[in-house]
Formats: sequence, C-alpha cells, structure tokens
Amino acid sequence: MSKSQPEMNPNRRSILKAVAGGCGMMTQTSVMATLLNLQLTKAVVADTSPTDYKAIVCLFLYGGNDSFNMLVPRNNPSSNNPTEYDNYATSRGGFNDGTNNIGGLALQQSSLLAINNPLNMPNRSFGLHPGFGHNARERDAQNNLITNNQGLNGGIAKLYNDGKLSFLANVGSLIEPTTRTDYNNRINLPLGLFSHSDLQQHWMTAAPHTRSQITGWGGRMASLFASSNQNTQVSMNISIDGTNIFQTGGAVIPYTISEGGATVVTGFNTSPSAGLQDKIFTKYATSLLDQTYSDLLAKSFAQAHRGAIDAAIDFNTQVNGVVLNTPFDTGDSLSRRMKKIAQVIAAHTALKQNRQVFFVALNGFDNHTDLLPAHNSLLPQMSRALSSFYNAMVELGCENDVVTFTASDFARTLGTNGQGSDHAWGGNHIVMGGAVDGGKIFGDFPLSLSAPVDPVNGNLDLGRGRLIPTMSVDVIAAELAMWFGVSNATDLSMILPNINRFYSYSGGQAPVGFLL
Amino acid sequence: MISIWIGAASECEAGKFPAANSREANAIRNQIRAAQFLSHATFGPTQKMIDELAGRIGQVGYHRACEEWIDQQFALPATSHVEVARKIYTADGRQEDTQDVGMQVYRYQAWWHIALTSEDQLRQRAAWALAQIFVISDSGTNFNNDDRRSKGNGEMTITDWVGMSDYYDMLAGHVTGNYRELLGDVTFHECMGVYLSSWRNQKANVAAGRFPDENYAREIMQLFSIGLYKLKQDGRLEVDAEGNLIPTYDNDGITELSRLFTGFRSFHNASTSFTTGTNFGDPMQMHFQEHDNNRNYREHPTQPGVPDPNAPASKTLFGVTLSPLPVPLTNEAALAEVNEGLDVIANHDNVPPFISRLLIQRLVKSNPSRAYLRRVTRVFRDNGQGQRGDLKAVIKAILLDPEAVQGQRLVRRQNPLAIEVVTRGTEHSRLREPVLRITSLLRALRPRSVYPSSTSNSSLAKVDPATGQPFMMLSNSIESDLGQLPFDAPTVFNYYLPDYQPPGDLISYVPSGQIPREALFAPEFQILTAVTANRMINRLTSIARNRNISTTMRVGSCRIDLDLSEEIELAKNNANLPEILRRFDLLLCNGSLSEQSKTHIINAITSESTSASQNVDRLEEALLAVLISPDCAVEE
Repeated sequence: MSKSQPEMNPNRRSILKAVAGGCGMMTQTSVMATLLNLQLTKAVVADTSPTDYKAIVCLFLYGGNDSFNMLVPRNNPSSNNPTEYDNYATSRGGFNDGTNNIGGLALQQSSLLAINNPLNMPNRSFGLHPGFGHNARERDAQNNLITNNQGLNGGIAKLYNDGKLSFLANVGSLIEPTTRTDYNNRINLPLGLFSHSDLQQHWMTAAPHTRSQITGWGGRMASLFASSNQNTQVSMNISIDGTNIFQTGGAVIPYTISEGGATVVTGFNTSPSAGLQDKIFTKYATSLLDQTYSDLLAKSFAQAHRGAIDAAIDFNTQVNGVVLNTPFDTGDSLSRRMKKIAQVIAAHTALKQNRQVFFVALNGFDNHTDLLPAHNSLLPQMSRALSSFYNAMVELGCENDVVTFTASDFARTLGTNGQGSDHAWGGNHIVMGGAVDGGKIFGDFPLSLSAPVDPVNGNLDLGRGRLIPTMSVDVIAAELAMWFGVSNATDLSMILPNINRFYSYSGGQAPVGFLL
Repeated sequence: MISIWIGAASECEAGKFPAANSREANAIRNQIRAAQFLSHATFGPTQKMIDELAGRIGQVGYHRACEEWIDQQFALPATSHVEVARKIYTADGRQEDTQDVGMQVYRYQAWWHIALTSEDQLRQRAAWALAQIFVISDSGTNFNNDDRRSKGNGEMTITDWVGMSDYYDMLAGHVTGNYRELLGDVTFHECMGVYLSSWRNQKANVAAGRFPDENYAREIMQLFSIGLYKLKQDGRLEVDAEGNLIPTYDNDGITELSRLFTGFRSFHNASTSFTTGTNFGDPMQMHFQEHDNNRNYREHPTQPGVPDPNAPASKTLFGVTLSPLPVPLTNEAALAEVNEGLDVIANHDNVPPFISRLLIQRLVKSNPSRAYLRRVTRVFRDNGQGQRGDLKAVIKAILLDPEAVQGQRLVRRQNPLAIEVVTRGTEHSRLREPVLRITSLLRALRPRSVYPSSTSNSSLAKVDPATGQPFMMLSNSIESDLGQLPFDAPTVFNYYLPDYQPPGDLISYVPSGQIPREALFAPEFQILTAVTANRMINRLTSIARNRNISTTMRVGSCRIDLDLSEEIELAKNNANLPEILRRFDLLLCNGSLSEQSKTHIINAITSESTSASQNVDRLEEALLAVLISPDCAVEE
C-alpha cells in the first residue's frame, strides 16, 4: 500500500451511520467532497439512473464444488421419502470406514446439520455439511484462532433457518432444456462439457454455445446501468479475484482490487518523508503525465495513467477508512476479502455508484482426491465468510440491497473414484440476502440420488452420477438481473442470449422466485 | 467540451541528438532509422542490431539495407516452440509424457525464451502478429492436459499441452508462406478444431433437430479472412446507393458454410471411428460419413430419409457454387470440397485489405493510410510473379513501405550540428503492446539470464544448447501486470479489437483524407485499464529499481539481470543525464523522447539528488522515467 495514502478517517462509519436511513439513502456530502476534483469535473451526468442502491456478489467456487455433499437429503420420521438419505449414501459409494471402503464419500447422517424442512417442500428434509455451522473465529491470548462451531445456531445453517438464505438445486450451464436423449444425440450441448475452463466460462457468459463470447452476463448487465456509475475511473464491477469474463461487458471491465484495496502506484508518494527514489519518481511522473501532448494517443495514455494513479489512492481513501464492528475471521483469506467487499459497499455513495457487481472466488474444489478433508476445510471458510458478510450488511443497513450467490464450474460425480469425485454437471448453489425468499430449496432436487430422474424428462444420470442440470444458469441470472432493475424483454435477451428458451419475460412472475 | 483536431496539428519536436561532425550526424541519423525499423521487425532492438543495420544503411542506403536484413532474417531456420519447450523440460529432467500438473507452463517459458533470444526475430515477431489474428487460446479449452495417447501403428500423439506450441510453429512457418496454405493449415489444425468446435462437427440430422455447429464458419469469415463489411483495396468501407455498409455475408451464409466444415475428426493411423481420441499434433482428417453430403440437410418434408428434391445440390459461397459431391461420398471428395470452399474464401476481394490492415496494426501503426494499404494490398493480390497471398512479400512490403517510418522526420540542424527528431503524431502513432514493451526493454538493456537463479555456479545453469546461454524466461504471472499473455487471449477476438477507440479526444478526432475510415483507432488501449496501468508502472518500477526481473518457473526461478554499468558510471555526474537519456531514447523510444520530457526528468532528478554516491538511484529513476513516459509507450 502506498505510503502516500492520506490518513484514514476513524469516524467514517459514524458518518455513514448518522445519515443512513437505509443503504440506498446515504447522501452525505462531507464524504463526497473528499473526492478529487479531477473526478468531479470528469463525472458524466446520468440521464436515467436508479436512485436506490443494489449490489450482487458472485462467490465463485473454482474447481467444481461437490455440492451434493453440501446440501444432503436427510430422512426424519415425518418424511414421506424415508429412503432419500439411503439413496444418497449408496450413490456416494457408502462411508469411508477407514479400512474396507476408503473411497466412500457419503457423510454420516448423524453429522449433518438438521436444518428445517424447506418451506416450499415441507415433506422433505435435508441436512447441511457440518462445516456450515461455523462462525468467524476469534483469537485467544496466544493469538491462536479458536474454532467457533455453533451448529444449527451459526453460519450458513442459521442464515437458512432464519430465512435469509436459500438453495438452488441441480443448476448448471445449458443452451436449452436438455434431456438424456438430447445428450445422446449431441444436440445443443454446451461446448467442452465437463472441462473446467469451458464450464467456468459458460457460467460467466451464459453463452455455452460459443467460445467467441467476449462478455459476461455481469458485464452486460452492468453496461445497462453504466449511467448509474458516476465514477469515471472505478468500474461498478469490482473484482477481488482478478479479471474475469463474468464482469466484462461492452463498456465495462472489472476494477480489480485485493484484500488491501486498490493497487496504487508504489513509487507515487507525496509525503515529505518519502524515500529519495520515490521523491524523484513522484516529480517526474507528475510532470510527464500532466504535460500536454499533441499526439492524441500519448495524451490518452497520459490521462489514463494519471487517472488510474489518482483513482486507486482515492478508492483506498474512501474504502479502507470504513470501520465495521461485525467480526470477520482474520485467519481466512475469503473472510478478509468479503470484508473488503463490505467496506466497498459501505463506501458506495462516496464512490458514486448506485449499482455494483462484485466477484470473489474460493479455490480448491477440484477434489479428485481427498474430497472429504478438503470440504472440511473449505465449507467452514464459506460459512464464516458468508455469515460475517451478511451480518456486516445488517450493520450497514444494506442487507435488503445486496444479494450474494455462489457459482462453480460444475458439480462432481456422485459416484466415487476411490478417493474423491470427478467432473460432472448439475449441482446445488446458495443465494443469500435480505431480499432472498429464505429457508427454501428452489428447483428440482432429485428424489433419489441413486436413480436420479426428472419428473418430465426421465433419467438425469449420464453415468457415475453426472446429472443433467434441471435449472439453467440463465434463469438465476435473469432473476438477479430483474431484481437489479432490468425491466424489459429486449434488455434481458441482450444480457442472456438464450433466456427465451427457459423463460418468457412478461414483467410478472420471476423465473425462479428466489427473490422477494 | 468537444475539441476538433486536424491532422497536421500534432507534429511535434521530439529529441535532439548533437553531433560533433557531419559523419557523426549521419551515423546518428542512420541509428535512429535502424532503431525505428527494428522496433517493427523484432521483439526490440539491441545496440548491436542497431549498429549493424545503421552501418549498412550508411553503406547502401535505408531501403536496400533493410531489404537485405529482411532477406537474411527470412533465410534463417525457424526456431521451433515445440523444440525449445522440449529443451527446457529436458533440462528440468522431465519428458514430454511426464504426467505432472503444470507441464503446460513450458509452452510459455519457451515463448519468452524465443522472443528474448532467438535469431529469427522477424519470423517470430510476424508469427506473434499472426497468432493475434488466427487466435486460439488456452482460456476456455482443454489445451493444458498432460495426456497423450496411441494413434495406431505403435505411434503416440503429442501430449495435449504441446498442441498450442505446434500450432504456433505452424503459424511461424507460414510467415514465409502463402495465405491460402495458412488458412488451410489453420482450418485443419486440431487445436483450432477444438477451439472453434469444428472438430467432430456432424452433418445435420434434420429429423432429430440437429444442425452443424456454426462457430468456425462464422469466425473464419469475420476474423480470419474477410471481416463483416465489404472493403475497397485501400481500406475504405464500401457503401450502397443509400450510403449503407454492405455486409460480406448474412446468417444464411454462415449456415451454408457451417455445412462445409463437417466431418473433421482426429487423425489416427488405424481407427475408423469418428470419435477416437484427441490428437493435436496431426491435421484433422475427413470422416466422410459425417460430412454434409448436400442431401442430408433438407430431408423430404413428409418422407424421412428421402432427400428434398427442392434442396440445392451443392453448397454456395458468396455466389460461387461448389462442385457437386459424388454418391457415395468419399473422404477425398469431401476434402476436395472443403479445399474448394477455402479457395473461394481466400480469393474474396476483402482478404487483401482485411488481412493487410491487421498485419500493419500489429507490426507498424494503428491507422495505415489509404495509400499505404493500396500499396500493400497490391502486393497481397500479386507478388509480382502472379502469386496471390505471398506473406513473405506482404510482410516485406509492410516493413519497407515509406509510411512505416514516416511517423518521425529527421532534420539536420546546424550551429550546433544536431539531428532533430520531429514526430508527426496522432495519425502515425501506436501504443506499444504491453508484451512488446517488456521484451524490448529486456532485450535492449544487455540482459543476462541466471537460471536457475538459486545457483551462483554457472556450470549448473540450464542452458539452451543452441547458444550455450541459460534459458531466458518470464512466468505467466506477468499477465496480470500486462493484461496480455501469449497463448492466453481472453477469446478468439484477441486481446483487443482492431476498431477499439479509447475514451477521450481520439473519439472526436476527424482524420485527414489520407485515412480510409472516418475515425482513428488504437486497439492496445483496450487493455490499458485503471488496474493494468498501475500494475504496469509497478512492474516497470520493480525492473528498473532491481535492475533485474525474477519470476517463478515450473522448476525454480529465472532471473534476468540488466547490465547498466556504463550508465551507472555516467550517472555519477548529473551533467551526463542528457547523454544517458539519449542512450535510453535510442534503445527504447527510437528517438521520440521529447526535449520537454527530458527536461522534466532531469529537473526531477537534479532537484532531489546531486551527490555522486547516489548515482545508482538516479540512474534507475532516469531509466524508469523513460519507461513510463508517454513518448516511449507511444511509438511514432
């Protein structure tokens, strides 16, 4: 981080709170006034721009999350489907007993977090991976992190039971509704099925029929709201995990940041205590970038660099000064990054952004081997990060204005390879936020995982428990887009070229209904 | 406020190079011209290359010296990316079939080693241009696997990850070849087949509702040959009577062409199955059973399996009807039809202006004039011996064209004697690609590779057997600083679009009548973002202040040390700063660093530091200042 960064304002949060009647109504001029003149003068006046605030956060689980061990069928005495758990256990090759069946992937029934039956499927019961009860850890006197497993009273389990989080079942990238027969005849299948890079890209582009798609649906959606972003330097699409096609649109590219905030130019340091080389650098960088160039390419180049230097310093001034009382786990990178996103959201007014799309990723889900220990580490990280993030949104008064959803390359084979699971297709996902119709499971979670069928189209299993998705990424994206403010069929088709194959926009019913 | 600029207004005095006598003045002029030429034709000039070419220019003149240089370059054997990758992984104790995570990293390591050290610089630089036109990418494909498999008769395929290097070698080979042959090899390379899904593309099965994949049919026209709109040979867009642009094809054209690119399968010596294996090392072969035979496409509406008598008997492309196919179809006939179709595409009037413009943008400047394009497209259509698409002749025409060096006028001043560089500005310039900014600075500043960097014992160094010098490489991690990495374009549309305009004054600029379009374009700005801008400066800062760059390889690290000892000595006295800047200017900016910029740099340094003992700090900052300066980043 730059040594030249101006002092943080320790009272920023109190400023935010003082005027916050809700997340969208923060219009404190004192914060805005600190913006650099450069940006104020360059700001474009929007013609039509939403005045409320909304943000979506994409948590991408790289590698292909084995999500049938995240959300698991669970019998209980009142269940009408007493064999659901047994079929699950069979499909996963039974239990790893440490001796005869070390490849078994099933979770013990007793270990599952017994969440409430889904409000929309009261006769079926599900359990969550035991890692989903974890809250942010605190440190003891020796600075060791103390595990904070609250079971049903913590983490993602609590958010679900409290109605702040739901699951989406058997989701994947599709070109059109697809049956086993279509698959056998190779009709309209996503390119490069079961490959990481293709399926990641398909999630992000919602255009699985092509490798020529240069934009993602988050980017195309943002392009529609370009006028809501009056920040000429910082994109409304902000990534804390590098550039990605999801957030790239016609006029929008992601502004990438890290745990520490925006990348500042390290040598640019106006402080009197700067080192000799930084002092020299700051002088010539300023004069070289500020001088007039008659060559317009040189002029554009100088302006772009000058703008970027100032924007990063300004961004960090606005964002890094935000103080949050909500505890975030300091031992997990994901929690630290989600905290940074929460700070950016808190500073959205100062950043002059009414719509924001965030991208954050968690690596490590390609578990061909050692799936169970990997999940035991990764899922608590998710639980700690998402629960802290939701609580921070409550602290900011933004919980109804921010929706978080998970994405992943694909799910994994239900069948075991003897050590873990392999690449598959349809899987389960999370949507979280005050606007989410929580405590539910949307979509078709197969009644039997050992013989998964779709009520209409029959067999879903392509072999080894590779499930054909029954919910397309398109409908999730469409629902988020409509919540974001997309309000006509043309715009929706521009964002999602295949949406008409799954959903017909009429202005009425949302495609899935997971948002209130 | 919108400001309107006119063409000549941006002419500007750049650097001044004092000379002791007339002979020295000539030598300086020749050096600047040589540096400018070499910055187009290589991954960056070195002092040695500048001196050699400048010497020859002094003897036989600019045009002849450069033509000789081009001929010598084209005569050099092509450095193979597959072979260099092999040398590097062999030095690491691995084999091509080593099953190991991250083997594909050798593909990138080989690319940097070749760009930084190979003798056949022109071929490699032109291959880099072709790779940005005929784009494949490991982003969104399965090109990084470490699998290989039998292809029958006891032979093995190349390992999958080697496929993209093989493709690159194919492009490099065609730098001295022919466009039509290039288009054919691109079409049949299995990496392209997989990337744009023509591999295993099946003929239509109308009853089942299945039609051929249209990906390759679309992109071969839009990106690899003719583009979206009809062009004149000087690059202007044709318009109809109402003034509308004229599309080169419509969606029916794509649908029709998609039928041509069917029946491609992996080459295998023995198997006759359409779906056997993957083989990135041999051209795809024809499997006539899945090639559109002109009768399967439209079945009889009421009699399944019976052809529709109204369906056309042959495929039609741009109004040209391809030969009818025999019944029964054969592999030879199906293949002949594909080649006939490729002939039609390659002979389209749009190919010379479309491909020539893209090559000029990659090699010389962003906005070639109509006259420049007219001269180059004439060579594209006929190399003087009746041959169309002679890429060697086209590249030569591009590099030797007078306009290629018109961005800088060299004026001889008297009292005191000096060569003054006058830059012509906007219509003549180009933002250097980030990758080229890095290769040029490393090549120019007398690099020495230490690999592996953990050992100081040079006898343990891993060396290129061709030169006896250690491999000189960078890692993929630099991609996030550059926004660009070979083999990793985000999509088939490359890193940037040829018609990209950055926000700002360029949009309202009205070009002179020399320019074929009504606007100017600057593609490379598409990857100069608020993020890459800062990251690039930080990377350059790290290189300048360490006087090296060290990055992580598949095994260990590679450190490239820059030798700045002469300049460091000079920097003991601030009076030598102008001389230091002139040296960097010649090597890194072809002489376009303006006196005004030099003054800014000198003032910044001298106002903070005069002590002789701070010479290293001052020198590093002088270098960094040049590297980040708009004068240097924008090439005239």
